[in-house]
Amino acid sequence: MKNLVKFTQQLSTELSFKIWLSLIALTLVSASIGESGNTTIGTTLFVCVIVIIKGRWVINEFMGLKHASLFTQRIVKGYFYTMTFIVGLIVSYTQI
Amino acid sequence: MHISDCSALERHMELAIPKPVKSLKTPGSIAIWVFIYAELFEFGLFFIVFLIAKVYYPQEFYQGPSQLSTTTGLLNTLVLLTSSFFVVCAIKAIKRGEQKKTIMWLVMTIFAGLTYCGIKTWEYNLNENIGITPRTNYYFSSYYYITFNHLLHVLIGTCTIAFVTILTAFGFYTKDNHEGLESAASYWHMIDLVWILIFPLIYVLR
Repeated sequence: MKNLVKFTQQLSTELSFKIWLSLIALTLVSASIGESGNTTIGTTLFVCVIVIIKGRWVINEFMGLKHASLFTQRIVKGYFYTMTFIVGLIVSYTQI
Repeated sequence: MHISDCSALERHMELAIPKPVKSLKTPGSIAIWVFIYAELFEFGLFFIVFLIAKVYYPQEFYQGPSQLSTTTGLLNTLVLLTSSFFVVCAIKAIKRGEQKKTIMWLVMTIFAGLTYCGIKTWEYNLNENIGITPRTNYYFSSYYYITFNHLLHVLIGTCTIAFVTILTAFGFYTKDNHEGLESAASYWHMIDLVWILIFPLIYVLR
């Protein structure tokens, strides 16, 4: 039991644990927007911002691409940002 | 030589010697990254097809998400994010040379992968109970195409993690040699990254 408490304390101080908690919180915000059925352009853009933040954390901290070659970083980040932009643009267009 | 000359010389030497630059290293092998780029391209095409269909059939795509279970979509997102965190912990453990902890985190990742598959099966059953099939309309055809494809990737990822877990148990990966484990981890993170886009696209945005 003592070991488990020590292990949990160690884990909670790590950056990856804090990022995981933040990812969970942002996901809950997205899901609550989905459940509310709010379909304005503003909410679409807000959800896209959440997606960008989540993707950035996963790419930089979880995948560890923060210290990867610039070529890999540019491809993965470029892909993710471009796809999110296209999603935001087309979903907003259908909401006009 | 005067003392001030010595210190000037030392300063000059410091400027002349280039400071060590932290090398940029992509985790995993080059082969897995080529595979990851191909997978990202594949999912990118799915997203574009989904968005084109959304422009042509806005009513179906507007009503679609409200008929799906957001709870199962949310649970799957939480499970995948948690599994990615487990993989990060496994990589940190192997870098510290802690073999047992690495195996523990990898086993938890496998468990998360299987949980994802279980939740997805439950979601498909819920859909079937209310008469939703891939032939219902264009929204649900796209939904099944994307999510089933992603489910297959989760299954492949789970098998890969299971394989590297066995290799870790046999002592194949060490503190200094764990490129294979990093490759499997990168693939798993790619699956998570793609789901971060799928979740709002299918369940949240209308």
